[in-house]
Amino acid sequence: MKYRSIRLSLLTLTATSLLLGAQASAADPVSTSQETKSSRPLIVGVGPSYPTFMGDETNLYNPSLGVEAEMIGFLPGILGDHLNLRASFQYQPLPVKGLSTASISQWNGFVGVETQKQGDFFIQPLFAAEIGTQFTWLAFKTPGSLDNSRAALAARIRPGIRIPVWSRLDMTLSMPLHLGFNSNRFTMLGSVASMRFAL
Amino acid sequence: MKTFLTKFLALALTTTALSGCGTYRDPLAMMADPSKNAIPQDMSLPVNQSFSFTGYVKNTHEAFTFYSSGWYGVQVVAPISGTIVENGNYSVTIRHNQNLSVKVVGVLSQFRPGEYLGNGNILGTTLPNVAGSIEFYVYVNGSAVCPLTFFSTTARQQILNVALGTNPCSG
Repeated sequence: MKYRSIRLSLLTLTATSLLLGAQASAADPVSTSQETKSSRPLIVGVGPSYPTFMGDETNLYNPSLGVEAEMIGFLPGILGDHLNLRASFQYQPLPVKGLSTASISQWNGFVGVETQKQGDFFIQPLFAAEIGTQFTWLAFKTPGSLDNSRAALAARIRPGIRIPVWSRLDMTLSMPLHLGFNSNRFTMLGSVASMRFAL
Repeated sequence: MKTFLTKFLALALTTTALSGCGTYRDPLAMMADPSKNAIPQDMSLPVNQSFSFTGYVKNTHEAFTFYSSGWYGVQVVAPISGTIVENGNYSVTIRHNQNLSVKVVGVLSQFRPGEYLGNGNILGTTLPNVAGSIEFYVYVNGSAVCPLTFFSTTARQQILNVALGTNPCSG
């Protein structure tokens, strides 16, 4: 009975370990990735983004695929061990519903900090806060038309998860909440899947 | 640490300085509706001159035609505020908000797509060498509808007076 209980406990422990990826080995991408944090201070990433518009914009724009590039730097001397410096650049088209003669493009540039839960979990939650500029450009297809554009302060918070893929390669899935401080408070919730590579 | 803070401060200042920069108007504000997508009922008449009036309904579109035998190059005004989204072939389309656009056909306008016009601003003139008539369309969510209900009370009464008691929306 005693052995049965121990066996059951071991089975449970093994299952839990498998689930969370706690069986870190030399070839485990998590531990490898953590090693690269100290030895490789720069990570670059790129991936598609897909917006969900909020507020008044819900019925105004058609969701359309964009692209986002990001760069994460480790500066333990300045930000400590738990915070990383990050910069991101996003291109997001905003097709206006019912308006085929024009298109809106948005370029967003942000800098901020990112932190991720350290530990033995295979999938690690991460969180970032960013501030930057959104530049919006309205262009008509007719030659000689008047372009309208405006830059505005913008901020983002982005919860997400990081999934180690292979050695220096990670995948992150995040949902940045974008707040643009233009005259009508542009808000969108994005979904970004980014492949990150440690240089 | 000091260097980092200096760079961060410089970046924050740059971002603040960039805010508000751009050309003409804010696209997001132009596309968004200041009146929360309400369908307006304050449109003015596209012409200030006295006119005759025809309202007609066809299978594919609904429109009002304003005409007068004496119209050669008379002023046409924007019946509603909005952004010009099309201008070509003597036809100008004004996008008021995401639900409502108006199109005026038979107008010679120098405005370019992307420009903003206020209600009552001069849009252009009727054609100089054709007996003046302009067609007026209202599109709600992309479909042409009878324009009558969108006019202000005064403008609506003027149309009804010219229509001599007939219902301009019934063809």
